[in-house]
Amino acid sequence: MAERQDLVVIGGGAGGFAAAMRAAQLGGKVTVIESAYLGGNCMNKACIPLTCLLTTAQLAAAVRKADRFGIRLGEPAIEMETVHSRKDVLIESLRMGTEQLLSDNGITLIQGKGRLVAPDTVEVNGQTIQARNVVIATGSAPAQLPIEGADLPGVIGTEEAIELRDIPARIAVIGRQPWDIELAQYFQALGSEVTLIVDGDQVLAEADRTIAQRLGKRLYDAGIALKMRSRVEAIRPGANGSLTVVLAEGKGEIAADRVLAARRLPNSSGLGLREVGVKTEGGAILVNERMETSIPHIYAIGDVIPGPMWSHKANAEGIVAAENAMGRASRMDYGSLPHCVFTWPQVAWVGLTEEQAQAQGIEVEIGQVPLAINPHAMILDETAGEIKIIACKKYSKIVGVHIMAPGAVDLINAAAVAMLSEATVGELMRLIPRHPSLGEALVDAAMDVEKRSLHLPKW
Amino acid sequence: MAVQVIMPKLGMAMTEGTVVKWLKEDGAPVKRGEPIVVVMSKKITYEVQSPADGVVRHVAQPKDVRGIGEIIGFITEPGEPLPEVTVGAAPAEAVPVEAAAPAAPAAAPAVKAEAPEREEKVIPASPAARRLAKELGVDLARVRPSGPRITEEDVRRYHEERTRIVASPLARRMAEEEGLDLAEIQGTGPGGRITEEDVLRALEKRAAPAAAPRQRIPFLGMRQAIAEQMVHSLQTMAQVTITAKADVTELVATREALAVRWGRKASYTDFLVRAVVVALQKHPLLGAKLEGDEIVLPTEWNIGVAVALEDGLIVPVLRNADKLSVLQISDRIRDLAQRARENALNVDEVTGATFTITNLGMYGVDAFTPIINPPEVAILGVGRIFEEPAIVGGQIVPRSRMVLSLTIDHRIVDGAPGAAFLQTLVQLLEHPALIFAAEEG
Ligand SMILES: Cc1cc2nc3c(=O)[nH]c(=O)nc-3n(C[C@H](O)[C@H](O)[C@H](O)COP(=O)(O)OP(=O)(O)OC[C@H]3O[C@@H](n4cnc5c(N)ncnc54)[C@H](O)[C@@H]3O)c2cc1C
Repeated sequence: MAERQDLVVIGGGAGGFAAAMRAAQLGGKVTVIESAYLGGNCMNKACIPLTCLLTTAQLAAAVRKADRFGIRLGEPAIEMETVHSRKDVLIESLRMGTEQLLSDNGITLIQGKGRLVAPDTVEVNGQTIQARNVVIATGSAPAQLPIEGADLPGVIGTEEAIELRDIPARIAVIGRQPWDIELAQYFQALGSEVTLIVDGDQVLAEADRTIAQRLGKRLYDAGIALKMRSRVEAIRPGANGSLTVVLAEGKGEIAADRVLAARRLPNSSGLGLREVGVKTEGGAILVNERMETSIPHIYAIGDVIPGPMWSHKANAEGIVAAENAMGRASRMDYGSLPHCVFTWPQVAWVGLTEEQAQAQGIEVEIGQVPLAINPHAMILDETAGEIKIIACKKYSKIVGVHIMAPGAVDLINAAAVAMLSEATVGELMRLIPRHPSLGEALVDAAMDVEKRSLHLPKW
Repeated sequence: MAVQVIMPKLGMAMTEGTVVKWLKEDGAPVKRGEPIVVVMSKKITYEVQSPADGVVRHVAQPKDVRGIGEIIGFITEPGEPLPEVTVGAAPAEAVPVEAAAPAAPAAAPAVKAEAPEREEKVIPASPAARRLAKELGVDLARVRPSGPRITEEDVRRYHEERTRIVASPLARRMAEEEGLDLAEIQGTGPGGRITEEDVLRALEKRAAPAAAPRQRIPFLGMRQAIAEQMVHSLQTMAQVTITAKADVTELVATREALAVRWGRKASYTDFLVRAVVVALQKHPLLGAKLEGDEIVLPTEWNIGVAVALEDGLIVPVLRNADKLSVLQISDRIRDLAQRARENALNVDEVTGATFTITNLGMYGVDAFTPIINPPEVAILGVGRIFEEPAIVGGQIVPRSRMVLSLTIDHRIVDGAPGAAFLQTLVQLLEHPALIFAAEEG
């Protein structure tokens, strides 16, 4: 290619797309290199397809309890072909939209595997591209759990689980990442017998303890078998092509037709990082708050850097990287990054958990409202959740908001805006939410920080 | 019919004044001539008297600055509506009087109540503060009192800070709890908004020199006025200081003798005022003023005497000092100095000097370079009296001496006429009889 590019993005996923678009908006000449599908894991193998499947599963669950709302429907029949074709059409249209957006913005898209051959030179399909700046956005790659038997047929990762058209009669899920819990619920709703094996004492590793406990209870009540504080010793072949998951310390064995044992590692190999001198740690590319790596003009974003793996995080980092590459001064601030789990009810949080706040030596004040007292949650028949606010006693600063509720992934944005604009608990208390609505629980939780909620019983 | 109370002109250079304190509450009945409000120029404070019988109505509030002639209040009939006033503009553009106050509901939409107070207890606040807080929608629980209870002024300051400064709610809360003034914090957020980070930085800065808290003296009012005047003086004049030593042995003896006769001791300054008047009459150029392209010689002999105050300096003026005896001068200076310290001088008593004397003798100073008080053209600095061996009639004897430091504006007074004036002064001081001779003649 003759022309020197202002920015070359390696990886056309969630992060890479945002970086390319922002740089183009700022007048840059941009090339995106993608080795598989535009839209990345997020669009093709993770967020979009899984959320699509979960929506079907939730509808099925809703149909099952429709009679409680006065609608008699009976057991829903699930047609997996339709479920998947709907998902695939959706992905296809999103992917086309993405491609259109790139070309509308004059961004060059090259299909191929990109690699750094010099700090300012990227090679793809045997040709080299001169680049003033490079953004590495190669995401993460699936990896096996380091367990004996993880390579057996029938032991699957998230990608296979999502594509599975035959619902297994029995499935064991090993892990406590968001996708583990989501897929456990998915298979359970579609009729599998599900065992969730958790190496620890809470089902969602990163969530606030009380929320994770509520979610655990909810999964248990729905009929998922929970094996808490259980480490897997091995996965062994069982009878008739089935599998046996052996728990350590004699905690028992679980027979399953499929075992979901997924993890993801930063996708940083084969990029020429070592040759060019880009520093990594455990495979993750190290960056500063400007998304700069150890080599000037080389940036990295998304799953390939340390930190939680969220598509919206990769997206925000892409914008920061592009702005810096185009000569602006931009910093990434993770303080109001929401963490969202698409279970039902949904779980979402922003900021610190109670445990994290205490570990940081913050003198905390807690406001907590169980949804059992919220009229709208009662109407929806979804009262298992709660809203919890962690505030710093000094200054009444909001340090964390944790929500388990229908629509939590949207409701959390109200809390994120509050934190982003540095509102205090006092401002949250002055919100005037619709009645009845789940937002009322947010205000109640804020008021409960000062123990003055109008709707909570006096303890 | 409402009678205006206006900001009076308290001195030649005065263009604006500050309302210090209302002596009568808003709505209180007054009689004509009663003091109603204290105002302040850069030099003096002054009690404004009621121009009429009626009811006092406040327009300007304490600390408000108003130009000369601007309305600061009214005397009305009881129940009479308040006329319209506008600040700093012609009355034609009058706006409702409420808008003149910096923070009234009409001008600034009431801020909704802040985060409710933590403890619902009664907050000590003056009734005026309560009224204003209610009017402005200020939550008293968030106002930091400057004294034992919240005053109207505290409420106003709080409200102004809140409405003027862009800061995140958290930043505000932190600044309030930490007692930081947001006005002094540089905002780095969008549009210069003050963020948590900015407040944390300010807190760090404050924590740093905690070992030795520096005392800070406000550079305002009189202090600022003196500074301006001194710098102005040095920048506009060509000042030269010349010194001469006077043998004041006889003056010391005369002063002692007169003390017996008068029943009290006059100060050396009292004698000096008298001597200076005599010397000035002989050398009137030293009492001149520069007006445009003319040097105007004096017709009045008004002598300024610098008086040190706790937090500054003031120069009361003895008018027509030529008509006063040393004893009268002594009485007048005592009275002026006393009232200067009580902040009770009137305008005529601090303006219009022909020449100024500043005596640092009591502080053990020998000689110094005093700075001329414009528009005067010279100033006399008086040093301490000290003993020195001298040869008189072939014998070494102790004599009392004093150094006189005369600063002249060389644009108007050359060295020679300055020296001549100083020489006359030395002669007068060395032979005090001459001082009194002039008094008689
Ligand atoms: C099952 C599952 C569900 C998830 N659900 C959610 C969710 O609901 N919400 C959410 O926020 N996050 C979710 N995530 C996480 C989310 O998918 C990732 O955080 C996100 O995709 C990261 O974006 P990225 O741009 O870093 O990487 P990706 O989106 O994975 O994009 C990386 C791209 O780089 C390409 N690439 C790699 N190497 C090269 C190379 N050498 N040359 C050219 N191209 C290359 C890849 O083909 C890929 O297209 C989920 C993850 C999983 C596994």
